[in-house]
Amino acid sequence: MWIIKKAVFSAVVFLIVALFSIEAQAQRKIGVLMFSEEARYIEAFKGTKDKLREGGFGEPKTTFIVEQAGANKARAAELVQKFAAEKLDLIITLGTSATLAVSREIQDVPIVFSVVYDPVDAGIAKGWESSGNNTTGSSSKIPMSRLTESLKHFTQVKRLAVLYTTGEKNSESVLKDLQRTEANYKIKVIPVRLTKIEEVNQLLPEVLRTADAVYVTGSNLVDSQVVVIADMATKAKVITITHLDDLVEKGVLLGVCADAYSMGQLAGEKAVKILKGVNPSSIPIESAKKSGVILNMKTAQKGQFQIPPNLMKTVTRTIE
Amino acid sequence: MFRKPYKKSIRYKFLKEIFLILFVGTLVLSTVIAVNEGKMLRQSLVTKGKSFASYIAMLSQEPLIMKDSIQLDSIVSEANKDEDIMYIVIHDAQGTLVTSQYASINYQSPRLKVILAGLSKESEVEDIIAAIRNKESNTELSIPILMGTYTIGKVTICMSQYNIQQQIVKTVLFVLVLNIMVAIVLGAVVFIVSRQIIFDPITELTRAIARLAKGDLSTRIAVKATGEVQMLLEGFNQMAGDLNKTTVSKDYLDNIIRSMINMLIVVSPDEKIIRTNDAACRLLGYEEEELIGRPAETIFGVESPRKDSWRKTLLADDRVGNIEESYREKNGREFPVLLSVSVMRGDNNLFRGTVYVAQDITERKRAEEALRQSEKELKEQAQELEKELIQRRRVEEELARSNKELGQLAYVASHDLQEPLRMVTSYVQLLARRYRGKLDGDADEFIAFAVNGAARMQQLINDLLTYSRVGTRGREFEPTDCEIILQQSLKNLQIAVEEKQAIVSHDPLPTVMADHVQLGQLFQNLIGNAIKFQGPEPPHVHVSESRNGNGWVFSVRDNGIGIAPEYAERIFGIFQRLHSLEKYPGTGIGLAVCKKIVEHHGGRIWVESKPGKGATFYFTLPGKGEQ
Repeated sequence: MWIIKKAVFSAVVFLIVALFSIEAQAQRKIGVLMFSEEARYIEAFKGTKDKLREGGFGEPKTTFIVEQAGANKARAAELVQKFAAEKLDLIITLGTSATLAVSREIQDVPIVFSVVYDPVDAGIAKGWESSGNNTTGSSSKIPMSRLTESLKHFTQVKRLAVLYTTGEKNSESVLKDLQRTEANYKIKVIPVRLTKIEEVNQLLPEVLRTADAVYVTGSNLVDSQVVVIADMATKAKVITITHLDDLVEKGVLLGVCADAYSMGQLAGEKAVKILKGVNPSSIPIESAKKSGVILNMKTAQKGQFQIPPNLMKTVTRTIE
Repeated sequence: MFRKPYKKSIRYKFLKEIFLILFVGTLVLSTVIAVNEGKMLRQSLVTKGKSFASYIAMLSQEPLIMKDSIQLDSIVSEANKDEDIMYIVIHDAQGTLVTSQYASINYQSPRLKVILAGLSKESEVEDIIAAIRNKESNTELSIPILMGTYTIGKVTICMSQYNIQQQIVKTVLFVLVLNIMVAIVLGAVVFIVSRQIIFDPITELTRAIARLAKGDLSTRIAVKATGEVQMLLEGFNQMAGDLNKTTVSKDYLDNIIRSMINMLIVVSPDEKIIRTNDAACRLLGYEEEELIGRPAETIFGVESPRKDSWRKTLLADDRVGNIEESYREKNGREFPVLLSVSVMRGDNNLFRGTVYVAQDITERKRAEEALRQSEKELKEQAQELEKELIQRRRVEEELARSNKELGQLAYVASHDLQEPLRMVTSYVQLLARRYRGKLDGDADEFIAFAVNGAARMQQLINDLLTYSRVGTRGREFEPTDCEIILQQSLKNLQIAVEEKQAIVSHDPLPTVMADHVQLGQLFQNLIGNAIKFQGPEPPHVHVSESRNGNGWVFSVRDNGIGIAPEYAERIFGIFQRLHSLEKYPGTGIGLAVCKKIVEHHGGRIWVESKPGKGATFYFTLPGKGEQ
């Protein structure tokens, strides 16, 4: 009898534990780290979140712990420590710096990144097909050929100054990509290293005097000063170009950009797979499939730039 | 604070020398400092450049091997923050430049803008480096980048000497400014100290010497100094003191000349007036400026005899004095002067001019003229007086002779008349005794008349004899005590005094030179008269005496009937009576005798009286030697 009672009691306890276990498996906790409040990060996270919701991991079942590092690597490192203590199911990172900070510290939680220009060059992943670690995601990298082709519509462009920041891998990767293509397109790439805000005013006048076009990479310093940079370049009648659409909205003349929301969606799809049990290293890293040419008409008018008709044909979006 | 230094003064020269020395010193010091600092800064710059290059070489090893141009740019960019660096470039082993333009070139260098302005848009890093090398004073250092024993590249660093030059300029400017300030302060301190110690005493000494040279021998220096300067000042004071003792100062001379009562005119060798004094100007009626330069002849009168008479003496003796000359005033009037002239000679007995000192003797001349006139008048008056005196003496002699004769006559007459009168009287008295009552009544009356007449005549003759004896029978004058004489007189008058209850008083009386008999008779006559001519009250007679020069004035005052003023002279006449014989007996000879006695003693007698108010008789007697 007492054996029957014991068995019944054990069965009840097992059921209770099982039920709680199922409920626990249904409640997901996802950490989100943005390096800064850049519009492209917000837009990309929006795409990711939408895809997660579509995959059954929307709120409230899924809890999103969203943190923003304010373009500060130290702050980012603090937030990574916080995430490490949270027992998260997944970490979503936006931006190369944020991804690097998380991937270096946390290897036991899957990481899905987006808006990372070149995760391989940045050292986040070992390869595009397989990261070889707990990371996967989507890249903002666009084919340099397309960008340089767009630039070549401006026949006068021979010297392209690239504003980048040492230590920001996406920024350095853009520079390297451009340097790799300069021989092909007969455009001389001139690296302009910016590490402090005051260097913008120190270097840019001379840069604008000697360059035909300025490439604005997505470093945080350049982002924060893009309005000033675009304004100075426009006044000097120097073309500005970028691969980041939000920088075009801030005044850069020409953008050949991956769509941030699409990039986010692509990352979201990979996140859903991971939450369903797929190993991140088995999920390839992909660039955004959707990209276009964006033209800031206000800058064009302000700088009285003559937009070549061939270029205009390729423009997918204008900012009025 | 500072007196503007006269540009030729020792103070000015000293100040100039101090500042010149300090200026040269400052320049030398600045140059030395500039050279030394330049060496040190250059050495420091090289050391710094080497340190940078070595550090960069060390950091660049791996990126260079990895051909990580971004990392190399990052390394050189960070190093390029130093403003002394113009550029840092890294070349690989093949000599290829592996650092980019904006990393290699220090665009923060303010000097770079000037250089870049001259470069074209397409200029490469090598072009910019070449331009920097051409335009700037730089120090370029190259350090190999070693990997073990292999050289994998080199770091070239270019250090600008611009800051060194600026630093040197700043240092030199600082040193200059500091030195100038120090020089100013030092110069001021030296100047102030030297001014107190040297220049003020010397300035004061210079002024004192100038004052001394102008003749102010009272000049002394009160400024205190030290050391040799103090000795110098004391020496000056000593010298000035000695000089003052031995020399007459110009001011002193001027004062003397100004205060001279006599006229001073100094004439140059060419006979032009060169100096005058106030007295000369005032007396001649000129301003000094008018006289100066005029010919000496201007001041001499037209009739001046000077030209020949004393000129020779002056030329021979160099001086001539007390010449009576005449000066001519500006208005032409001439006046007499007493002139002294002396020749003024300088060194080597050189003739320097002539000094005329003249005294206005107009008043003296007038006085002399007046005196001459007075003398003349006096002479005339004396002659008149002499004539008058002779005349008077003659009269007096005649009078004396006449008096003497008269006296002798009176004496002789009275003396000689006494014998016949006595005979007449005796026989008339005999007739009266023998024939009284024997003849008729008329005869008795006639005989009585004759007896009375003879008696009166006898009395008159006696009185007349007494009167005449005053002048002829006088004794030698001898010291006579008036009080004793008065007492004897009062004894003679004792009966009358008692009879009339008279009071006779007297003051202390002196001893006089007199004939004591006549003096007694004088007192007796005056006191007797005072008692005889008594008024309603009993007689009160007071005799007193007072000094009058060398003599005495005696007074006999009474309270008698008094005398009318018109009789004051008459009563002293012989046999003069104011009253009837019946009322007051006597012959009237008493006061005449008194007068004769007083005059015999060299005095005089008078009366002061009013009727009924008493009378006071005064008589004087001369003192010893006056008789």
